[in-house]
Amino acid sequence: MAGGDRRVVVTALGVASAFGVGWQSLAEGLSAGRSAFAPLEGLLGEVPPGSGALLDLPRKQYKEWFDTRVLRTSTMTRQTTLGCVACGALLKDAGQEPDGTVHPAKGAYLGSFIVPPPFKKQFIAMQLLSRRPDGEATGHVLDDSGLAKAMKKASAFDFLRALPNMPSSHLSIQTGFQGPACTYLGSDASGMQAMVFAVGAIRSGIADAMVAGGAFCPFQAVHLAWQQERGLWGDGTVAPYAAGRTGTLPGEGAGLLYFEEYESAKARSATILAEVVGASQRIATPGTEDVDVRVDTLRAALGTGTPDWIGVDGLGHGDLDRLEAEAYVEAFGADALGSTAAVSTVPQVGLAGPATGPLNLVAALLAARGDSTPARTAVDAGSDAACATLAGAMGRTATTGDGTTVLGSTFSLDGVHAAMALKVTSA
Amino acid sequence: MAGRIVITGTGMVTAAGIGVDACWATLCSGQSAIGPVTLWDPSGMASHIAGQVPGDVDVPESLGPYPIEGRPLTFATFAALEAIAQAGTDTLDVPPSRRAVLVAGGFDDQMLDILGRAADAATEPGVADFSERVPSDLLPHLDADGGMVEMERYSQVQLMQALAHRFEARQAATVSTACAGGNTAIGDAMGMLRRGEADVVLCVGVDTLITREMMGGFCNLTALSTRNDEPHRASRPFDTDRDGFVMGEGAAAIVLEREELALARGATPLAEMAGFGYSSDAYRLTDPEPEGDGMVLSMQRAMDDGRLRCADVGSINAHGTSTAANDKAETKALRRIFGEQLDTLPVSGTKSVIGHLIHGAGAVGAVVAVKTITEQTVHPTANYETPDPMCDLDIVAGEPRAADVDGVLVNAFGFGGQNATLAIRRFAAEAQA
Repeated sequence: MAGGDRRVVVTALGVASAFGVGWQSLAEGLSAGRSAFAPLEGLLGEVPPGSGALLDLPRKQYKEWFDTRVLRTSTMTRQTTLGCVACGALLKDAGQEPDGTVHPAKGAYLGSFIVPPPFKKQFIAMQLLSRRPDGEATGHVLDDSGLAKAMKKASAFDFLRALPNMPSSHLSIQTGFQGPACTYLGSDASGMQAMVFAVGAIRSGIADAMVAGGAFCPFQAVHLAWQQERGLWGDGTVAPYAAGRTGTLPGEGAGLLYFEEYESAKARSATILAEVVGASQRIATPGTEDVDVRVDTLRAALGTGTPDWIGVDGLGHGDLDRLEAEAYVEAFGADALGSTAAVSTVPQVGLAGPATGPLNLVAALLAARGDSTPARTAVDAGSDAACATLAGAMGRTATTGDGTTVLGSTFSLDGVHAAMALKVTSA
Repeated sequence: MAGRIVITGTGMVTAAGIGVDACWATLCSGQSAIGPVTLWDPSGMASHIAGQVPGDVDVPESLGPYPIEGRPLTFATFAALEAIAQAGTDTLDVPPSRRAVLVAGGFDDQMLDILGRAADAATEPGVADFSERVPSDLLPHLDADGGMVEMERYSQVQLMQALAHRFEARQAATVSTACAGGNTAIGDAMGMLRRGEADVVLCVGVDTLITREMMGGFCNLTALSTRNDEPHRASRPFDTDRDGFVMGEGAAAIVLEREELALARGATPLAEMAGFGYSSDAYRLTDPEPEGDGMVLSMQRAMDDGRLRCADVGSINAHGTSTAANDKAETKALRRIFGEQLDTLPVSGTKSVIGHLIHGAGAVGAVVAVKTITEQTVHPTANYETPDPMCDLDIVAGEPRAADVDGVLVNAFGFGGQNATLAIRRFAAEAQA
């Protein structure tokens, strides 16, 4: 394995968001300033936050994006499905659609949460299976009839779909990629982390090409309860860095990038969208004012200079927006950021956990290439100097085309932060 | 920043014992540590047996702000602290930004229990009342129970945070490739060291899947041994009379660092982490590719990466799950790589003694490989009584075998077709030619 000096480029993008499948739908939705949020009543009753951004993708449409005879949907969680749909779009975009052959030098990394089985049957099974005989500890006793009932309801497929490595396993089977495949677990930054490790794998010569990013569906009790307890939800509008921001809203989706070793991409005459300048990941104690670690994350990815475009979290959350803005201002200076444009997909398609970082980087890259124009959505002057700096950057248009630098970052509640810097290039 | 990577610390807790030396002694005894499940009442389940960690594991109540509670965090903490102590990294002058922690882990039994309690509360008086609106029924109970905050304390993320805090690391990740997870964490760590992204990395593989949820699931896949009356004879890789794998629990840890750093600070390299290989079967979720194509790729890549020739490999720590499909595919893959050399190449199956630690399995294999090299001894595979003719391997059985072992391959092949192999070799002060 080499020490890590191979050049890595981005040659295709895979997107599934509430705007649709494919990067074109994201670009169109962002440019038009549309909001994908809709009431959740049919799904979650009166449960807050009341609205979210869902992708309308009937099961019968899955076969447009992957071979349902090879990938059994009964073994897939929603986030795995979203990942496979986005991957299908990416492969079409790259002209690399599966043809039954295997590719030993290509791999797939995906970031995701550990997702307990989200559906009715699995909950019932979980309820029964989780009961324990130590009544003092949990108050639950499982007798033989209950266990038998649980065993009957918990099918092998139900079990399979909840295994944490399954999202990346599905991608490797879908693509025929026989290189590395791994699921990176954690909170929102795990999608960006997967990309950081994918770039490392190519630089080291472990693979020549990697599909990498994140996928997530938050529309299940466990995750919504977690978001609720963490006070993430707002009152219905996501307004990043604005003085009147109240919180974020959930969305589902997947964001994937196709990373290739430069010479391999050139040899197949691939369309090169950007070159990877740097990538980084850090961990801090969660819940702390860890601005210095965030600054270190950004600087380790970009090195010197100031990014032209930034793909930011932009959650619309009081403290999280402030910490993010302070990190950017400290890393690059408020004056230097005066001409930087900021992009976030969250105000329009919601917070999709590990998918959000990759989606924001995709959105920023599309804007930097001139393929979309970010809308200025629900932004006011910002509550403090740092937020005002990023509020001013939201909706701004910066330079586009070759040589433009793009920096994407994700700062997670769990203290894991990750960033990736790209330079737009067509050669 | 190419250069050799060395192992300077190891830690382990399994059914075979608490601590590396205790585990190694049991492994060398040739006696299986598999027994009845006593953590909960397994009656009614097809498989009643597992490799449980014996007794209490002594760890601090917390690592900084992180309480150490529950079996995964306890086991991982023990293994990590043992490895850190051996490596002597507490006095290491390396800034946090150049230290990393990589964890391989999966589900947590406490988390599932909390979810189960909330589900119970939401569905009284019985499952018949369970409506389509499951999430909205469940949510208030999770919230009222304080379940989500409680759940975070037991999560794999908390494990990563706690270990990063203890190791003073500012880089950390949690990987999941199922049974290959431990090897994947180590492989990712090697990549970071070689690319110059870190100087020292703590790698931990852990799983505690002796739970109703996970054993129930694997029972439904008919993957577990049901030799309930003879637990000590249940895990029998490469033996004709096997009937599935046996669940285990525990953790293993290793400290990796660049050779020049280790030598400069006077540390004693235990072995060289020479190479690693990843591959995917890209075949099926539930079955390994039967010809071992993915396994061959994984092993060959590890050997190429570590510049090991076949003749340099003195022992194989097999994945050896004790399932027919895996054992046969692994045998084919080994034969394709080693040819006739395989007839006399010692192979051992650690899972025969401790069961299958899933995400922890590869890391255990790595620690066992280090002991194999330092002790120049291959531990026996328990229950190898009736060799499967389809698995024509030189299985070490009955008693430990003294051998001149330079290199060891550690195989780990994950459910879902994710494979990772490590190439570990004897540390020699002079670089290999």
